[in-house]
Amino acid sequence: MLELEKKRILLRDSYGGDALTPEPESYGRMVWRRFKKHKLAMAGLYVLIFMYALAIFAPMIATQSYEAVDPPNKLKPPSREHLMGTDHVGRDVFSRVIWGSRISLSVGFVAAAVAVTLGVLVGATAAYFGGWVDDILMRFTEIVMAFPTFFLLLTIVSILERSIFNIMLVIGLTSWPSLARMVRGQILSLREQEFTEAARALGASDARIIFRHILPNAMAPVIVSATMRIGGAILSESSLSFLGLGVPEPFPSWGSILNAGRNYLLQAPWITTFPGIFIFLTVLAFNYVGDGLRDALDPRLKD
Amino acid sequence: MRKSLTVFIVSLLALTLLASACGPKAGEPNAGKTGEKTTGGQIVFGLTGNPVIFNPILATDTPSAQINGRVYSGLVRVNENMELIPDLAESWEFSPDGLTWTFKLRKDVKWHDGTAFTSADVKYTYDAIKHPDYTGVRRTDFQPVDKIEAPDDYTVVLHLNQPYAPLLSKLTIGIIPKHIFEETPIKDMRENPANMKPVGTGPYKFVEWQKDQYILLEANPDYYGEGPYIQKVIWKFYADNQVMLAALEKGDIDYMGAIPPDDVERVQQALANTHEFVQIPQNGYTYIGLKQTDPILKDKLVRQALMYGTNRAQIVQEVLKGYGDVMNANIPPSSWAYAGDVLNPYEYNPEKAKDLLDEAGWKVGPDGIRQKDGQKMHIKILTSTGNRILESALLITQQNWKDLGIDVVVEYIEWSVLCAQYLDVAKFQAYALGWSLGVDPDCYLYFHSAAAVDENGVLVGFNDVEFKNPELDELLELGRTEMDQEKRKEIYADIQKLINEELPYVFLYTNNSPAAMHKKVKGVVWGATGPLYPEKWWIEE
Amino acid sequence: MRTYIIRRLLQMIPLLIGISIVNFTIMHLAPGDPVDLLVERNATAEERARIRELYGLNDPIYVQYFRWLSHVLRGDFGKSFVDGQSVSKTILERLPYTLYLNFLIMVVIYAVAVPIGIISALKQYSKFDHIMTTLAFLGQAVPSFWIGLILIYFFGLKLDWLPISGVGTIGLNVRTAGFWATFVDRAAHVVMPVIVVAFGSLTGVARYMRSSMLEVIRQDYVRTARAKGLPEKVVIVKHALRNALLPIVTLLGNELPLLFGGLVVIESIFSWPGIGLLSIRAIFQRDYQIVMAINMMGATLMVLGNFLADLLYVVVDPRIKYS
Repeated sequence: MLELEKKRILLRDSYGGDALTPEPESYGRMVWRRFKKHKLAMAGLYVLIFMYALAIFAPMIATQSYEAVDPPNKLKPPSREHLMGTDHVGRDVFSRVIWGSRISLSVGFVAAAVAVTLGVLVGATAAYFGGWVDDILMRFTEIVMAFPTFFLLLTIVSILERSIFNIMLVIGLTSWPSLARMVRGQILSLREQEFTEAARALGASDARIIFRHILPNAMAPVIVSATMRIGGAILSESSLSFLGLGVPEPFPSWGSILNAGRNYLLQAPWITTFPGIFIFLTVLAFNYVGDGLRDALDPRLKD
Repeated sequence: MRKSLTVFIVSLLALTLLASACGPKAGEPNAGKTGEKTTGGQIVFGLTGNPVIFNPILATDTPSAQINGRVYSGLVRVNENMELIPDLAESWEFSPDGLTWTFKLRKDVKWHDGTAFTSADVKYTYDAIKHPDYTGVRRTDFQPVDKIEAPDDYTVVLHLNQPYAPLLSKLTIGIIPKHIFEETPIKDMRENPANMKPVGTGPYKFVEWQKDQYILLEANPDYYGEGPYIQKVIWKFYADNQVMLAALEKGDIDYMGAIPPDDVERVQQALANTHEFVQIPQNGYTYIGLKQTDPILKDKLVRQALMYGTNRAQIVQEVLKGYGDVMNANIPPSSWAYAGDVLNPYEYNPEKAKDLLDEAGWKVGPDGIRQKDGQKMHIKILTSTGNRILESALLITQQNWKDLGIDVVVEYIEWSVLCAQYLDVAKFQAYALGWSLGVDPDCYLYFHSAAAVDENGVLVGFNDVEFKNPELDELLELGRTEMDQEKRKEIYADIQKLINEELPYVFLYTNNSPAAMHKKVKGVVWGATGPLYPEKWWIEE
Repeated sequence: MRTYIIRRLLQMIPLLIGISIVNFTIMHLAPGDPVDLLVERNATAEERARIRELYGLNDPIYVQYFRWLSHVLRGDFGKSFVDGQSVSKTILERLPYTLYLNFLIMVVIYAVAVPIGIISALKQYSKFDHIMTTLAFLGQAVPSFWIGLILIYFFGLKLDWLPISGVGTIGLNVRTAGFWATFVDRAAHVVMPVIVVAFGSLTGVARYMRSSMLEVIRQDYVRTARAKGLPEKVVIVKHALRNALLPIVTLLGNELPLLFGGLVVIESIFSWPGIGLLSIRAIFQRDYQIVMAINMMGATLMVLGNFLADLLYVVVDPRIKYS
């Protein structure tokens, strides 16, 4: 009996299957089946597909240039010609919002990717090795958490320059520590669980244990948090815009359009309302999708 | 023969009458003069920035200046026509060679703590500014002063190493009490607690400052002049300009000095019954500085093309909503030296601009961008973040220049980075910013070749565009040393004409700040820089 | 356990020094310095260089760092470059306002979020769960300055129900107006900032509570308790709730540093004279001494908070051992 159990683990190991999927149904298909049951998450998914479609087809959808100014027609309310009105120098808000979807979604995605990559690497290494490695990496994480974002941004800006890419980078570089801590915590508790012990007893190498056994199990919360983090990064960009350090003019991001409209909130509410709705819908969609993924990926949750 | 005070004032007056005929918007004292001036009540202002320091020789920021202006007094003060009139000094005289200036002080002045004010305080203040350890920025103003003497308690004599007309306008600076500061080394003056609880000679006494909440001043009953009538002056803090505007509409504050142009119409309708709206011309202007050594911009035809090719009238009309004027040279209409009518107005004319660029050899290339000798016409304008009027103006400028076939980029840089990496080292192609000016039209530091970069690569004055013109140098030197106002006006007209022709900058606009004052406040005199003589205002509920 | 605590506490010293070095370096590497902002465009480059020299800003960074460190070790955070006042005094003046606001925010967040989380978990996928999830995410997805300005416009201006800025009416206090009037005045001032922040941060706590509760009610001991036939109320309150609340406590550890200057935007909008407003002003003026002091206090709190969270982790999950 015990012999058989060992064989199963070995077997699964050899074809790279997941330690927690005994059913014949593929893991991916199961997650998708569970995910579909979460109605709000599905709605979120559709919203995201829509937003990405806008970003991809922006040149075809936008009716005007995002930078063409028309001062005599500034602060005009929505009309047939300007679906979302015009901003403080007469630019078409609709076109800016559409083009803005490219920038905002990329900022979100790249920043989250940077944060997740660094967070997982640092967190996993720290947790698995423990001891002084853990100490050093976690203290380093804490140092980074205490980074003064504003000055970091200024420093990077002065060395490189204030570009959309650098803004992505700064948001990513300053937001990985909490992920690292989460991954570490997750792995710490997985390390103590039976299947790891079993693999170790069977003589699997450290790297193999981390990458084959522990990480896949720790990934669930990481994926969830990465999804939500894309939304978070889009919000971070709008906070940077609040401080005047977001995506530079004349390039539109939802955050920068919203922030430029802040000064006209009372007379031209459409400048803030539309990018506000886009930010809100997108962040909400990412949160729902993340929530759906959490439920779908939770191995303890039975169908 | 000694040039007497009266002659000086009269000539000034004559000039300003002329000047005000061509447009400064200094208004009349508001209605209600017939009413009896009542003592009592309070007035509330709004502030967005915290004052830095209540010490007039160390402060450089506008919020501090507002409070310091009520707590401290200087030897002279500025009136509604930008003329200098007596304050702590009763009268003054210049020696015929212009090198010795003698001031007679008032004898009835007391510091807020009861100590008598004397010439020793004046000497102490000016000596502090000239001290090598002084950490403020007024030293350049007092450079031509060799020695300050106080022969008796109520006489001050300034000895100059050269005649220097602009000096009188610098003497508006508040005098600080010697008996409070003398124990502190000049280097540590900034740390003296009196900077946070100032003692002055002005119409209002400092009571308290709760940072980011409010500042409270109360009437000084021993003030030497008329008033003060209003008993309490309060500044409330608003970190956000839109919130301050809401506070004005809600009635939380009685006065707001810089209402965003786009909001004026709406606010004016809402507050038509309770508030008086005025325009305050700003003593300054906004421009795009052009590096005179740049391969593209060193050509005068190109610079003139840029002036013709920028729709500055539209910027004033749309961005400033008409609250401002197009600038064609470096002296704004609010100054007595303004010579706008003799200047080339460079009215928007893209065709003429294109012709000039063609003439300069910049031909439109296959990609629509002009080129010359294989080089593309590329201009990068640097500017600081946070000024949204300038940002809007630059978006229009950018579009205008693109239409001429110029590849133009505007780069927004945080203020201190802009200073440290570009302006202080005079390394840029073009930048857009504003100057706020002193009362005197002297502009030596901005355009004289000696104020540009020296042989070690250090920027000496503010001539960061490195404009060098021998004819202008001569005029600038003359303008500083000439003591006669009438002659100075001619000199500065020539200076403006030359600058208007040569164009070290693309001059954009000067703005008039729309301001609103509650109608219950009476006796307000509107000067070129804001409401004047606060000690003579009174409240009529 | 005791050695672990002692070791961690000792580790904090080099950690804080490391943080201070990194902070100091980044801040000084960034171009520009307080002199530029202090004098704006009023002084020539030469004048500025002279002032810089007087402030010691021309010394090498490491000299400036050690000068700073030696003062801090003596408990002196120095004097502000801008107004020359003692940094510690300036921060202490602001601290009560920030603590007061944060305390109220925390109370509101936990008082609202915990019950929402519990009910959402017990009625997973119910209408209540969906509405609460949506509301919570809504708060997170809308920029707080936007909500802040909208509230100011409607409740402050249009309806004129609430004051729009500050902590209280000037000159109104217990002595001049009596206890109740003062209480009402202060409460009216604090309502809007608290609502805006709490609305935005409810999500985290409510979601955390929900998943924690979901996890607990699936545990064997809860099933056992149910199987024993105990009434649902007893099962939930006595068995599930107590265990589900434990991880929430670790959240508190993580929020400790937020108590300190995490409210920059809100303090700016509502002109709240706290640490957040002080720090943003100091940052924009490059007032190194104040920025460093705030950063270091924030970092110390964060390090302590992390340490507390780790400790609480052990308490909550006995499977994790520290050696």
